[in-house]
Amino acid sequence: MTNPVATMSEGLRYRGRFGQWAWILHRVGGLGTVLFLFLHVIDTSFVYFWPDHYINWIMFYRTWYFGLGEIALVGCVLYHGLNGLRVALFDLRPELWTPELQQRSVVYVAIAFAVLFVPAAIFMGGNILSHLGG
Amino acid sequence: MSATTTTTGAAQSPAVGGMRRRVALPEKSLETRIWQFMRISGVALIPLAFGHLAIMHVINSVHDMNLCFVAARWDLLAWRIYDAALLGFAMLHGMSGLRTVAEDYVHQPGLQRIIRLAILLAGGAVILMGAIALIGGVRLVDIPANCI
Repeated sequence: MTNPVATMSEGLRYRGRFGQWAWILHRVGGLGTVLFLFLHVIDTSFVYFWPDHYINWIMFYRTWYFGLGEIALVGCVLYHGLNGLRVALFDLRPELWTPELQQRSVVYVAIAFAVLFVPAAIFMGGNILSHLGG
Repeated sequence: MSATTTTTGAAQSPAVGGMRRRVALPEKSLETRIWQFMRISGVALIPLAFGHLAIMHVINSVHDMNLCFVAARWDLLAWRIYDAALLGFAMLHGMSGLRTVAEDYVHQPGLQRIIRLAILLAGGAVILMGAIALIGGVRLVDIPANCI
């Protein structure tokens, strides 16, 4: 097995610039999403299997620290989705595959991500604050 | 793109030096199908997952969430179909992605088989749990009358 520490340090040492950063974030965002996805399907299935305990999950999800995790989740999904769309587009239209457009498309994804994520994060952050202490 | 998606027929390769070369495309392997599925499910998940996040995690929040909310939501069949599509696409997309990541770091074929099997079993169990809950709905005797 490849040493995970070596994987991380090599990942930082290799200067692939835009494309490599986009790829690392895609991986982190995908992993974050899929880990919560497994958990989230199980917690929702409690409404059928153990309905009396469903609220216990929800009470945990209502804590401020999980709320921060939820903002991170929205970031993971938004980035992974937008960057994935970029990847799928280049796969479908290989004639667009020029180094310049590759780099520019990463910037477009970052802009679209910021436009969607910042308002959502502010809104969700306000929601966490409004429920603090009660 | 349709010219390149025939399984056995010949397809035209990009023009090279003004000449067009006809090459026979091989049968699509399982890996090709998985690759295609990742693109198709990924595009389908943009409206499904973004919509789910906006409605259930931003506009509504965990502070609105309880059995009553889920019961009222799933009272509409359309929401169950939406959630079923999200469940299937997201889980299969995530399982396939997990496998890709794992096999980037684990190279022994025997270990890769074990990882694939573990992802299939765990993911299959979670999909099954979600599907049963979607079909069975909220199972509580005393759902308040004003709930739905």
